[in-house]
Amino acid sequence: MEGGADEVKGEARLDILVVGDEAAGPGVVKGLEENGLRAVRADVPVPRRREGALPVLSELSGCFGTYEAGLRAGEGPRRRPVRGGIVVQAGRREAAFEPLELEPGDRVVTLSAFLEALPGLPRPETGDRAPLAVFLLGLGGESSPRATREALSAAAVLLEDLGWRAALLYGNLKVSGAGLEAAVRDARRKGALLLRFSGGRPTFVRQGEGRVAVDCLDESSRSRLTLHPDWIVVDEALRAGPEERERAERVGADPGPDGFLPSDNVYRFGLETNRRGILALPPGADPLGRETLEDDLAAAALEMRALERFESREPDRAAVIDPGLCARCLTCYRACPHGAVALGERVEIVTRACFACGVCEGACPARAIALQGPGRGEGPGEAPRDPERPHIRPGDLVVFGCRRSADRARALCRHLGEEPPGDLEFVPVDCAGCISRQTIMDALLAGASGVLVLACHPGNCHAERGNLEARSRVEAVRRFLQEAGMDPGRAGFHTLAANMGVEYGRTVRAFREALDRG
Amino acid sequence: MPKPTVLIVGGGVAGLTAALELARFEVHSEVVESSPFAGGYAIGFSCKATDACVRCGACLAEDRLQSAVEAPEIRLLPSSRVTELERANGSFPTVVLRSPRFVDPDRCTGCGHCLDACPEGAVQMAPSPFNRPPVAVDPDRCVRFAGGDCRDCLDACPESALDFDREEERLALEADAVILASGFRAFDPRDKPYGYGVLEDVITNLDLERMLREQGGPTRPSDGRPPRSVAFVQCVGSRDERLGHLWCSRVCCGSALRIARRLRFEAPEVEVTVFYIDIQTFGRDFDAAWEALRREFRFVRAIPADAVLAGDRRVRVGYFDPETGSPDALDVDLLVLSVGLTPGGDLVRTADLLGLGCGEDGFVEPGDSGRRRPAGVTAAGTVLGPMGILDAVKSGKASAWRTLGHLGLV
Repeated sequence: MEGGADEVKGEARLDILVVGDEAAGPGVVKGLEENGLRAVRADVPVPRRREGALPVLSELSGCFGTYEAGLRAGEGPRRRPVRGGIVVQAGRREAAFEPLELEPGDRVVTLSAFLEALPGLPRPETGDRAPLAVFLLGLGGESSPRATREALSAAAVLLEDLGWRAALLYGNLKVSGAGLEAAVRDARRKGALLLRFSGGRPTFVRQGEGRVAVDCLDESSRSRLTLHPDWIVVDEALRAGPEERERAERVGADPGPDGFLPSDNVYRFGLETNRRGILALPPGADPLGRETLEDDLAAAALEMRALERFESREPDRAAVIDPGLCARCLTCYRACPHGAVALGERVEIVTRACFACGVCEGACPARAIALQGPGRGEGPGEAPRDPERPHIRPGDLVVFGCRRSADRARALCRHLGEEPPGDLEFVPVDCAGCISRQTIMDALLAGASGVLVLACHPGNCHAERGNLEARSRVEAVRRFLQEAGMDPGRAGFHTLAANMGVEYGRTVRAFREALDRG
Repeated sequence: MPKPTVLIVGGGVAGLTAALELARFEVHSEVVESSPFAGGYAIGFSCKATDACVRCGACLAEDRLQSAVEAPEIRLLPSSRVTELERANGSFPTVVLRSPRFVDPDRCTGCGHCLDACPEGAVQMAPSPFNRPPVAVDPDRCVRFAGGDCRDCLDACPESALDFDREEERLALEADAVILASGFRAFDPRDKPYGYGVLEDVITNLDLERMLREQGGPTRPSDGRPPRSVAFVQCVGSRDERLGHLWCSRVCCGSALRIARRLRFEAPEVEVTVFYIDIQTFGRDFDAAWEALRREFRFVRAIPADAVLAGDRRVRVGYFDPETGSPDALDVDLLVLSVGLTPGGDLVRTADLLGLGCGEDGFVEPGDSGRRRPAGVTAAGTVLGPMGILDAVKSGKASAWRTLGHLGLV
C-alpha cells in the first residue's frame, strides 16, 4: 500500500514523526512500517545518550494538517512536514532499594541487571552447594506483571538449566498477564520457594564479603527462616524521566500526573493525546506492565490512517471565530485544550485540529466564537445571535448537559422510569465547557428559575478540562448572584456519567427542591 | 467495488469498537449478538467515580453502543447466532438465525407498560436506553410459549409493538472478513460454598454493578435496606487450580475496590472487608492508591472457607485468619463474590468454525502463538483471555486494523 507521503511545501510529507528513545524507537518504526506507515525519527536531547544518534526535535509547529517538525541533525537544521507524531516512551526502571533498607552492590542488583548477568552465571560444581537467588517483588513498592514474568523466566533458567535454587519473596504478586498464574505454579513445581508478605517485610542483615542474609517470617507456617542468598534481585518500577516530560512539551500534548503521555483519561484509550494527530505508545512505559505492543502499534496505525481520511474531508463541526468581534485577547488560545488555535494576522481556529468542544466559546469574553456545522443553533452560546434558543419560559428550570454524559444519563433515567417530575428545558451541549457565564446569566435574565450545568466527572472530560472550566464559571456566577443580593443557588453544577441515570434524577430533583425552598 | 462487509460475532465492547473503527473506513459490519441486547456485560455496569473519574471505563460501553446504533455502516443483530459459516475463495458465506422479534423496534418506545403488565416477569428491560428495541420477551418464562393464552402485555402496549406471530428469521450473509468477539462467560459461583443462589444477601460483583446502575446504590436483597457492612471475596473462579482455572481474571481487583470506594463515598459509615490472594494493579497511580486503600478498608489475605446464614440474618463468612493463625468468622450485611472471567460457553465451537484454535485454558490462542490463522479471521476482546474494558477497546481497534489490511483498504 502507498506510504501516504504527499507533497507539502516542496518537501515530501511523511506520515509520522516518531519521537522517542533510541532503544524503543527502532522496533516501533519497524512495526509502523510493517503496518504501512512511513516515519521519520527524532528525539529530545537525552543526557547519557551519545550525541548525533538521532536528529533533535527542536519544535513541532502548526496543528493537525499543518504540522512541521523542526529537526537539528548533523547537516544543520531543517523542517519536515508530517501528518502526525507518535511519542514512544521507554520510561526509566527504578528499583526501590531504599524503602527496603537494602544497599545495592555486586550481588544485590536490579532485576534488569540480573537478567543481563544471567547468561554468564555458572553451573555449580558437582557436590557444591547450589547457589540461591532471591527475587524481591513488590516489597519496596508495587510490582508489575512484567516483573513477575521476568523473575519467573529467570528463576526457570536457574532451576532447570543451571541447577541453582530460587526464592520469590513478594508483596502483591502481580499475575494479571497471559499465562502468569500457570507460570507461578510451574515455578513452584520446579522447586522455587515462594514466600508472601502481607504486612511485614523481610529484614536484611549485612554479612561479610558483600553477602546479605534475609530474615523472614513465613506467613503460612508462621515460622521464621533465614535465607543466605548468593544474589538478591530487586524488581523495578517504571517512572517517567525528565525526557518524557520534555517530549510531551515539544509535541504540545498533556501528560498524566505520572509524567507519561497520554493523560489518564479513558477517552484517550491509552493512545490519543489532547492534540489531534499526536499519539503516544506505552510499550516500555506502561506502568501497568501490560504487554500489548502489537495491539498498540495496530491501534496507532489505524488512528493515523483514519486521520488521513479525516484530513481529506471538511469536518462536520468546528469552532469559528468571528473576526469582526475578535479583540485578539488570546483567551481562546490559552483556553483551547487541543492546541487548535493558530496565531497569525488573525486569530484562527484550525478547523481540522478542532474537536468542537466549545471550551473557547465558553471562555471568549467578546462572544466572538461559535461552534458551526450540523446542529448549529443547538449550542447555547449562539443564544445572543439566535434568540430562540434555549426556549425559556419564565419559571423554567434550564439544564445544560454534556451530550456524552448528562444527556445519556437523562435517557437512562427515563428508561428506568425515574425521571424527576416537573418541566425543564434540557439543552444538550457538546461539552459543558462551552457554557459561558454570560449564557448562564442570559438564561436567568430571560426568566429561568434556575440553571443547572451538568458535566463529566473530573478526569473524564473529552476536552480534558471543559468540565472544570464549567464548574469555575458556575462558581463565578454564584458569587456574582450573591453580591447582587440574589440567591446563588439559582446556578448549580454537578458531574455525572452516562450510566448514572438514577443520579441524574436525584440531582435534578435536589436542585429543584433547593430552588423551591429559595 | 461494493462496500466490503465484515461479520462480527459478538456485540460487546470489543465487537462494537471494531465495528465503529471499520465504519470510519466505510466498511459495513454485521454484528451478531446472541443476547437480546448488545453492549456485552459492560453495558450493565455503573460508573464508579467518587468525586472524580476512577477510570473503570464503564461509560465507554454506553458510548460504543449509542455510536454503533446510530452508525449507518453497522447493523446490530441481537438475539442472533451464526449457524453456518464457510470459507470459500476469500469470502465467508454465513447463515445467521435471528430469534423471532416479538417486539417491533420501530414501534416500541420503551415506555415499560408491558414490563409492568407481565405476570411472569418474562419481559426484560434492556440495560441501556440505546438498545433497540429497549425491551425483549423471554420465551422461557412467557406462558404463551407453554401453551398459555395470556394477553396482558399485548393489551398493555399503547403502540401495538408486540407481535407473537413473528417467526425466526434466517439471514444469509456474504462476509469478506470475520472478527470473533463473542466475549467471556462470568463464572457461576453456585458450586462454591458461599451460598450463592441460596442466601439472598450473597451476590456477585455483576449483581452489584446492576444494582448501582438501576438503583444508584446497594441494598440487601433480603430486606431492601442499604448494607452497613460489605465483604468482597476475590478470585471466585479465578486462580483456582482445582477448577483448572489457572488464570487471573485481571479486572476483579479494580472492580471490587473501585466499587468499595464508591460505596464508602456515598455512605462513609459502610465497613468494607476484602478477602484476597494478591491485589492486582489497576490504574496508573496504583502505588499511592494501594497505600490509601489499606487504610480505608480491611484486607484479609485469605480465601474464605464458606458463608452461612448468621443468627441476625447477616451472612457469616468463615475464614482462616493469617494474622492469628486460627479460624475466624465475620458477619456482614452483604457478601459480594468477585466472579472470574471464563471462556464463553460456545467459544470452542465458534472458534473451530472459524478455524481459530483455543489454548489449554479454553481461550482463543493469540495471533502470535505460532498457529496459522485463516486469512480474514481475527479475534478481539475477552475471547483472547480476561481483559478490562479499556483493553477490550484496544483489542477491537487492533482487530479492525488487521481486518482492513486483509481487505486491502490500508
